[in-house]
Amino acid sequence: MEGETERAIRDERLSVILDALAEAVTIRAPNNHLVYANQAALERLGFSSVAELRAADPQELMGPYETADEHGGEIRMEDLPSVKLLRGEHPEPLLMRSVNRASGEESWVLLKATAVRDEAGEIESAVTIIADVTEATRATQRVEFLARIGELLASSLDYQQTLRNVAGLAVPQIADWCAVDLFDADGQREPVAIAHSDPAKLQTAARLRDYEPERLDPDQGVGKVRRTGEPLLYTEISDDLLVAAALDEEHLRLLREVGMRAVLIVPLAIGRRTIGTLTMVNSESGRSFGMGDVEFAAQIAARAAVAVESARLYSERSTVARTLQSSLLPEAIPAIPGWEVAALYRPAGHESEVGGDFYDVWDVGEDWLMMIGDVTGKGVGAAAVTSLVRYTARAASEFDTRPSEILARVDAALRRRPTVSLCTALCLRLSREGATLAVGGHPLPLRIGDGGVQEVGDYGTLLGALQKTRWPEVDIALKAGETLVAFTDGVTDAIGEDGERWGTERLRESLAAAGDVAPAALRTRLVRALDEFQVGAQADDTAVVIMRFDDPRQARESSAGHASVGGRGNG
Amino acid sequence: MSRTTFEIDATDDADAACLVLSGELDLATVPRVEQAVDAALARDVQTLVLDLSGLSFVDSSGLRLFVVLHQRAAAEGWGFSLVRPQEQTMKVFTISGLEENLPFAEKSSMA
Repeated sequence: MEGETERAIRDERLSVILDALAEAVTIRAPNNHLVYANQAALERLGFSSVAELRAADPQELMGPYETADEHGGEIRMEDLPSVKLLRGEHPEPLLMRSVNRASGEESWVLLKATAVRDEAGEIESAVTIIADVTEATRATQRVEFLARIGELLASSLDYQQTLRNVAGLAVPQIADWCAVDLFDADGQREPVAIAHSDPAKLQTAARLRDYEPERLDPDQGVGKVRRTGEPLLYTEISDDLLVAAALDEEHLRLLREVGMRAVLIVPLAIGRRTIGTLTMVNSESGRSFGMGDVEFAAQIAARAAVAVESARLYSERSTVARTLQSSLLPEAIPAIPGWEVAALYRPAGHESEVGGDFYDVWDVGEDWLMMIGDVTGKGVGAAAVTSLVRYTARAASEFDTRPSEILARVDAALRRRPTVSLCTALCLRLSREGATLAVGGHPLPLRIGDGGVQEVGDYGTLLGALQKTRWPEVDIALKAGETLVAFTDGVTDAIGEDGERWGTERLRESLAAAGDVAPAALRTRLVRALDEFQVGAQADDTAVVIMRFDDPRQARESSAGHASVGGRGNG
Repeated sequence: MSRTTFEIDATDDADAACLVLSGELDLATVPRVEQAVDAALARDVQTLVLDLSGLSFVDSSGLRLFVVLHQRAAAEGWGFSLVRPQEQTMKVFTISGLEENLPFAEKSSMA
């Protein structure tokens, strides 16, 4: 049968016009055979004439191409718009990805089918216009991909995890394999991420790693990219090349198993420094890489490099902060005869900042001094002040061990600083007989004992700037088993739900509820109570020192006898 | 970021600036007071009054702010005074010895 369409096509003029089009045009008859293709369509399908095309089995027409829809799903003949149209459906245009099996070239086409009807309104044939939308599709995908990469990279400071996520996002959309390597200080590669959609393949990759030389070859692959800072693209990876590269039979087998078709390596660079590489490999999909891919991979790498560098700087800052912070606290609480002591220090949420809270315990001949305080401010500046306070107190105690005198010396040292440096502090002298206390603008400590939980001591002036000063010294009577708790305002100022502060009252209740327990156990309960109350990140540093006064006679009898002290109030 | 509300109301006349602070003054809100003070001083006022009667909480960074302003006023030659907060909030000034070191005035005497 020959319909109007075919007759029209045989009109020479129309045929010439259609052949001049860049778009491929095909006409499908109701029996699903292609009955016409213009020049562009013939080339695409790999036929030299319409007659040859008409003779072909319609199922075989996709032969030279690996095809998929935009989500990677298989496209069967019955999914084609022209075939659907002939079935009486109203198909949407179909975006199809096709990879030429022979050349590895990937392209995207949009298939749009239109029905041609006879006079009775019956569908006589379906005309498909196939437009090459490769560039437009890739541009859209790249913009979307870069946006997602950007979100990923900004989402976390754990750059190793982030790079693994980036690699995971790249497969299989951009490449079949994606790997990220970073270089350590010695220029050794440190594999950070490798992704492939098939986990079995990842094992092959892991085994391939074992064959890699200890030192990178500066003239090929990752080593070359590290040396030159330029992208490297291998478009043709022949079996000869694999044979030449293989170290032994097993190595060759693994290399062949990966089935590399094209490899693209781009540098992760910060300025002129190459800190790593991003490697993309195409294998089973048959795709190759073009210059557009090089440019695109370079954009991903540039973003990843910045993320890695910021994360590294941040982690260095955190390390510096932690080191500095720990230098401001005693390495361990010394064993004090007649006393059992436990301390808690928790810096505020920001890991990279040094907090202003501190405590110290040191011996002064027969007795011991304990100081806890809070320097206003944060960061390195606060750390310097904390250090000054701590060492001034220690130095002052060489001459005079009275707590009020220690505070006076610290106050004087702070005043000599060029900028206003304020500090609250509390100083306790611990002896076998009890404790002596002086307070400088700091919350009073609590005593847990027979009378419940009560504040002890007397308020004194904030250290560092004030004209009128006084630091009244108070002797604190203690019975065996009674405990003193000194803390910074990070404890009582902790914010809970509804913006409410924890407050001294809750602290007291929590200590009273704990009952008669050893300092270490009390510390654990305090931390739990605070964590339960607190909402969100801890806003301020928190320091607590818990000191239990043991029966001095028992302590003399048994050096390890802290825990064996009987019930309190028996002294 | 503070979870609580904090507000500053400016009630100025020709040569005195009065900032009425209310809510919680802490690490998060101190910078706002510093900005408001700088803005007031930029207008060449003779006296700065901070009205603390609406403050429900002051932390150590808040205390530092008042000490710094007090010292700065002495150095730069402008007047500085504070209107007392409520008893609950005043406690932190009392226990830190700031009550006797800062220029507190009753509200009525400031009029």
